[in-house]
Formats: sequence, structure tokens, C-alpha cells
Amino acid sequence: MSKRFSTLDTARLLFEHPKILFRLIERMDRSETRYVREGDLVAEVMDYTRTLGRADKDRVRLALNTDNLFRTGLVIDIIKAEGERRLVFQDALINLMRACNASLYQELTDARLRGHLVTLRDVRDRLEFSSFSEADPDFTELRDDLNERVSQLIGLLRQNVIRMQTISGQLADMSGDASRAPEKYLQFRQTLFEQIVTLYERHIKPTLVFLNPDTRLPDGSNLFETLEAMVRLLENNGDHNLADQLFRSSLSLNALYKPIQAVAREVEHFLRKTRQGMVQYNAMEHFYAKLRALKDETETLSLRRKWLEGSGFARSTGFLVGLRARQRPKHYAFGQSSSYYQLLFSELDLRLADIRRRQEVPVLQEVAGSGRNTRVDVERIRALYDWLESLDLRPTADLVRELHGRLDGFMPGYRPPDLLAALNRLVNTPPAGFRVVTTNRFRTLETEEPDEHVSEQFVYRKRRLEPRTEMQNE
Amino acid sequence: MNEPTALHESNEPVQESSATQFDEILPAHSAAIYKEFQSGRVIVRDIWDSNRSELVANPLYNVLYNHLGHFRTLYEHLGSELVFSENGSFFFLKESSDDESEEHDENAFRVQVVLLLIGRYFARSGRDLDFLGRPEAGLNEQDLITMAADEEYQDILRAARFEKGLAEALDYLDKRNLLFQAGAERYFLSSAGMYFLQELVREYEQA
Repeated sequence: MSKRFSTLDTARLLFEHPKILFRLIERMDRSETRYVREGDLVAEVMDYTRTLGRADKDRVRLALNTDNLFRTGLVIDIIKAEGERRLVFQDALINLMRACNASLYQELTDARLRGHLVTLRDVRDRLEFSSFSEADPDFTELRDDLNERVSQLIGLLRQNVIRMQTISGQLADMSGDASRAPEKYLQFRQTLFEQIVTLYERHIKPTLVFLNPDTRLPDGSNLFETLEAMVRLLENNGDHNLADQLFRSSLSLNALYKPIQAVAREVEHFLRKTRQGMVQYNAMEHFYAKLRALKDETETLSLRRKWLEGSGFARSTGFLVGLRARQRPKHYAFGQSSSYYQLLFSELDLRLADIRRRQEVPVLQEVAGSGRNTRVDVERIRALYDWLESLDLRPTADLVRELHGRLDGFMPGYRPPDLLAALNRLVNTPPAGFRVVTTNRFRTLETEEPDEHVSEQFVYRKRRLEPRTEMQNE
Repeated sequence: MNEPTALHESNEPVQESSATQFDEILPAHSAAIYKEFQSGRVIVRDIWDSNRSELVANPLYNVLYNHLGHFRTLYEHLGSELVFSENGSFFFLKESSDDESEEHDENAFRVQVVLLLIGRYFARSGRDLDFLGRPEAGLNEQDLITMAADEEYQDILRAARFEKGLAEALDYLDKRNLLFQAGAERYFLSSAGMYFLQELVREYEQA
């Protein structure tokens, strides 16, 4: 290849197609190495450029060629080891890349935190034998070293907290995706689950332990004990300035504990919920599949199978089996008074009179549903009304029920709505010698139709039928 | 025609022990409980008070709970079985006939179908089932619209004799105290309704 790119152009191309390096950095972090295998680089470039246009493809492949990278100084070293070529990228480039992608911050692992702690302990040990004199270059060097280490640690931890907070947002986004795409739900959940576990176990928990002032470590003092010891040493030796500064730093570190704890709690909750959610989801799907199988059975060719056969299903779960509404035992209002018998006999007389006129009874036309055909309805109501007018009536406290009792099962095709409609005329032109009193009490009339599973209910106003003479006497 | 007076006389030599049990309970309470059971309802510990918009303790539940033995015997004598679920905090009356007919399981099945559809829909939407049982969460208007638009759910409901679809099904649960309406288009499950879903999850976990 004769074509060459300048360092600037190569870097520009790298940032135009950042995914390649992002993936390589991820791989580097995962294997905890400081180099990239040449084979990985080539594979990544080939994989990435597959979808690019021809011109772009060539340009990227050329720019990310090992020779080009090395000549432009972006790769600073090529190591030959174990039969492979390892490329060491420039730190500045890698760090810049990390800055572009929050997920590429190197999380603080237990080992790295330990490293920082050990260094601090080392500084403390050296302080113990220090001269604490401004003139002593050993001391001033040590002091600068201490300052740098502490601020580095704070910076690192703070960056980590931000990173942790962003990842919980990312996870929330992912679970949001999951709820929007139920087909991929399980897969999403699985990834989510793995990511959270890693984050929690490898990064959050160690950081939390590291920043907890009450932590006991088997190999020596914890972070705050170390810092405190140094503060005391500095105070005893009159270096209040540095002692105060260190004290403030330890306060800052202590303050970082809270946000990390919040993240930890959130993630822990997430973790619990995720597992729980997975079980719930699976359980619902499992039983729903059984229900769907029942439904499929109703969709076979047999036209008679219209309803779900739920008996087995209901029994397998056992929930509320045997639950049903019961008819309240019927009261039979038998009385013994003379008025009761009078009423009974007068009712019997009236019914007997009805039966004697049996051949005159109009036949109400059958209609499928009332209200569908108004003309038929009007005819029915008129026929019924004519019949009602010819009836002998007795005073009653509930005219509707009384008439219903005399019509139901007696007049062919009779339905309660007809009565309720016909009654309107009866109210306006009451039978001779009577008056109809409309009350504000409501009663319901229930029809019992054994063939149909739905019985109908009608609500009506209670109407009394009273003899007119009695009224005039009052 | 029975002579009421004769009945009273035959009841006179009542055993003292059971008489005292009856004495401890107000007839009005017992009658109210009987009425609930008769209309096919489940008696749950907490019921929704729509005026105060909060869950309130159900006095009938406490009466049952405090006199469990008495009511067990009472309903046994009436030919039913009083079933108590401690975890779900509810009572219901079971027809104790060894009736193997379809009708025997029909109500249970219809309740289970609706609850399962709700639970399945909710789990698929990525939410924790626990939220179904909270008055401030539960099913909202959007949920009802989405569920009602699902053809498969409609088919299943229709095949479970809910011809009018979801609204009828929710009403069916509401009438039985398995679900409460917390707002115009908002529902949440009672402890009894939640118990069914939790049982399904538990059963699945153990299988």
C-alpha cells in the first residue's frame, strides 16, 4: 500500500468510527491487558467495515492498518510474544476514547482499590520516620506525593460514582426496552441480570467496603484509619496546614460513601426485582399457555364446543373451587288471620275467573327482543291492555306483581316489559271504582327462565290499587 | 304448611355450649356474613371504601376470624364448607357437595381466567405483580384499553362466557370482592385476587 495518512487524519478517522476502538478497549479491559492483539484489531476492522460503502471501507482499512498506526505514532510499540503481535496504543488516545464513552471508564475493582490503600499506608509509614522539616527535600517530596495520591483517589472515586449512576440509568432504559418488546423480554432480562450482577459484585461492593469507615481489613488499617493516623502525625509535628487539608480530604471521601450506598441499594433492589420479575413473568406465561391450549380446543371443527372446558384447570389450581351464589331460601308467607284467607280466596276467585275466559286470551306475538320492531310492540301492548281492562281487579299494595302473577305462564308470549308499558295506560285510566297510587318505592321483578342462564331483572315503581270509595270516606 | 310454634318447641332443648357460642355474635353480623356468602362473594380483610378512597378493615372479616370455629360448624350444618386462607386474608363458602358437575367449577374457573389474563398482561408489561394489589397503582385506563384491544384475550373471555368482554369480566371480579375499582378507569386486586397470582408464581417456582 502506497497511500499514507497523516497522524491527524488517522486520528480523525478513528474518532469518526469510534466503535472499533471502543470494542478493542472493552476487550482490553476484560482481559486486563495493556495491549491489543493485532489479530483482534484486524478482525474488528473487517467486521466493522463490512457494512460500509466501498470508499469508506478502503479508507478505514488503510488507516487502521498496523503499519499506518505505528508510523503515525498512535501505536507506540509492537511486541512480539507467544507467536502473536501485540500493539500498544498511545495512552492519550485510549484515555480520550474512554472519555467519549462512559461505559469505558475503568471501574474500580477490588484490586485497584487495594493498590491505592497500600500506597497510602506506605506513605503513612514513611511519614512516621520523616523529619517534618520544610528544608528536607525528602519530606517535601513525600508531602507532594501524599497530596497527589489523595486527590487522585478522590477523583477516581468521584468519576466512578458518576459512572455507576449512569449505568443504572442505562439499565432502566434496557428494562424499558424489555417491556416494550415482550418477545425479546427474556433475552433482555438475562443480559440485564448479568450486567447488574457484575457491576454489583465487582465494583459497587468493593467500593462500598473500601469507603466504609467501619471496615476491618485482615492486613492492616482501613482507608480512614490510615488517613487519620497521618492527620495525627502531621498535627503532632506542627504541620497544621497539611493536616487540615488531609482531614478535609477524608471528609470528602467519607461523603462519597452515601451516593455509592444509594446506588448499591438501587442496584440491589433492581437485582431482587429482576429475579422476582423473571419468575413472575415465567409463571404467568406457563399458566397462560395452559389456558390457551383450552382455548384452542374450542376452535376445532366441532361447533358445539363453544365454551372453555375449565374444570380441570380450575381444580389444578384449586382457587375458589366451589364458590357460587346461592338462592336465599324462599319465604312462604303463610298466614292464619281471616284477612289472609280472605285475600287468598279473592285471589283464587279472580284467577278462576281468568281461567274461565281462557279462550278469549289474546296471544301476544313472539318477538326476539323488545324494541326491535316498534309496530309489533305497540300491537302487543294494545292487546295486553285490552285484556287488562277486562280483568276483575282487587285492591293490592303492589299492582305490578299482582298483574305479573296473573299473566305469567297464563298468557302466551307474555313478557314483563309488555306489562310495564301497558301499565302506563292503566295508571292514567284506572278501572272503575279504583285509583292507582304511584309510590316512590322501587321493586324488582325477576324472571326465571330455566333454559337460559341469564335471568332478567326489571325495576319498577311500586303502585298501589285502592278502592276509590274508601278514599272518599277518609 | 308447617306450624311455626311447633318448630320453636322442638328447638327448645338446645345444648348449652353451642348456645353460648351463638350468644357471642350479633345476629346482624352473622346475617350480614351469610348475605355476602349467598351472593357468591369472598370476604376479604380489607375492602375499598370509595368515599374515603382507602382500604378499610372489613368488620365482617374480623367477626369470622374471631369466631372461626363457630362459623365453621355453622356452615357445615348448612351443608357448606367455610374456607379460610390465611395468606390471602379471605374467606369463602364452598359448596361441600361432592358434585363433579361442570357447574361446580364454573365460577372458580371464570374468576381464575380473568385474574390470569390480568396477571399475564401485567407481567408482560414489565411490572412487578405486587403493584397490581396497590390502590395507587394497579390497572390504569391505558392498561384497560390495551387489554381490551388484544384479540386473543377477547376470544378467551368470550369462551369463558364473558360475552361483553373485559368490562363484564372486571365487573364479575368486582362483585365478588376479588378486585376493587379505585377510580373511573382504575382497578386493583384485593388480597384474595393477589393470592391467586402469588400462588401461581409459587407453584411455578416449586415445579
